[in-house]
Amino acid sequence: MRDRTHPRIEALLDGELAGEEAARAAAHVTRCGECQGAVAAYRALGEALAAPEAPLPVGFAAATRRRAVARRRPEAPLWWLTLPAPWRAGLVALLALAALAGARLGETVAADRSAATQLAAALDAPAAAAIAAAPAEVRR
Amino acid sequence: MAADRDTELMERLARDDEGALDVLVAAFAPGLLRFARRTLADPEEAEDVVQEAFVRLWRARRRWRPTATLSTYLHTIVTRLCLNRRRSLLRRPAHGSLPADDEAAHPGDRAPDPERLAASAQLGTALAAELAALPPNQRAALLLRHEAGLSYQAIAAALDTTAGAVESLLSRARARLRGRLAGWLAQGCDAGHDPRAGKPRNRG
Ligand SMILES: [Zn+2]
Repeated sequence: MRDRTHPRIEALLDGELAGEEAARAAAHVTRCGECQGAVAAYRALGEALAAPEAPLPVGFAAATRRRAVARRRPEAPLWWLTLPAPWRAGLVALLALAALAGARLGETVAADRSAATQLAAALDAPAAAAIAAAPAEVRR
Repeated sequence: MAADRDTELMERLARDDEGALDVLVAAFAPGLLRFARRTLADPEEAEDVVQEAFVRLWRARRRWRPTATLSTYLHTIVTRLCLNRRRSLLRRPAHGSLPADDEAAHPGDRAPDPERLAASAQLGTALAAELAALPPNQRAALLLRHEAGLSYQAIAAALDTTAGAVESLLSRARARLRGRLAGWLAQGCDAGHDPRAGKPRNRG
C-alpha cells in the first residue's frame, strides 16, 4: 500500500496527511477501486475495534484517590535520612556543638541538652544521644 | 478534552485539591481501563495499572506542563506500565480472560440491532483473541489510535519510537487483523466510499 501506485490510505484516514498530499490521496481514492476497498476495510476494522467504555467498578474513584493521596507524605522525604550513617552522626555532632555554643550566649546548658536530646531522637539516636549526654567533654 | 479544562484541573490538583482528582478519574479512567483491559490479560491488573497512572499524575501535579493533553499524558503512562507488566509476566495465557464478555454485555450507546447482536458478540470474542495475539507494540499502537485517537507522533512518544515506525506498526496490525477476521469484517464493507467518512470518529 505504500508503493507509488497508491497513496498512504491508512495515514490519510488516520488524519496524518495534510495539505496537498491529503488532497492528492483523497482524489486518488475516488478513481481507484483498490483504495476504495482499503477505505472500506479500514472503516470495518475501526467499527469492530470501537468498544464502549464500561462504567467504573464500584469504589474505583475512591480507591484511586486514597492510593494517590496516601503518598503525599513520603513525597517530602526527611532528607537527612538519605545521608549515609556516618554523615548523619557528623551532622548531629555539628548541631549539638552549635547548640552548646548557643549556651555561651546566655542560654542554659540544660535547655540545650534537652534540645540536643530531642534532635537525637529525631535524627540518629545512638550517636546524638552520646553527644548530648556528654556536653562537657565536647566543649573545649 | 479541552486544553483549558486540562489546565484548570491540573491547577486545582497542584493546590492539592482532591476533588479535582475525582473529576479526572471520572473523565479519563473509563477509557484508560478499556485500553488496559484489552492490553493486559488480567482485569484486576488493568485496574491496578490505571490507578497507578493517577498516582503518578498526582505525584507530578506541580511539575505538569500542558505540552500534551491529559488524555495523551495518561494514555502514555498506562501504555508504558502495561508494556512493562507484560514483559514481567512470564507468558501468561494471553486469552480467556479478555473482556469479550464485557463487550457482549455492553453492546454500545447506539440502539442495539437485535439481528446483529449475536454476530457482534462473536466478533467481539474473535477480535479480543486476535488483539491478544498481536505483538504488544502493534496492539498498543492500534488501541492508542482507535480508542484514544492519539496522533502518530503521540503514539511514537508513548512507545519510544518514531512516527514512521508507528505507521508501520499500525499497517501490520491492521493487515493481520483484516486477514484473521476477514469473514467478520466483510459484513461492514457495504459502507460508502467517501474516504473522509472513514476518519475515526470520537466516541466519547
Ligand atoms: Zn489506489
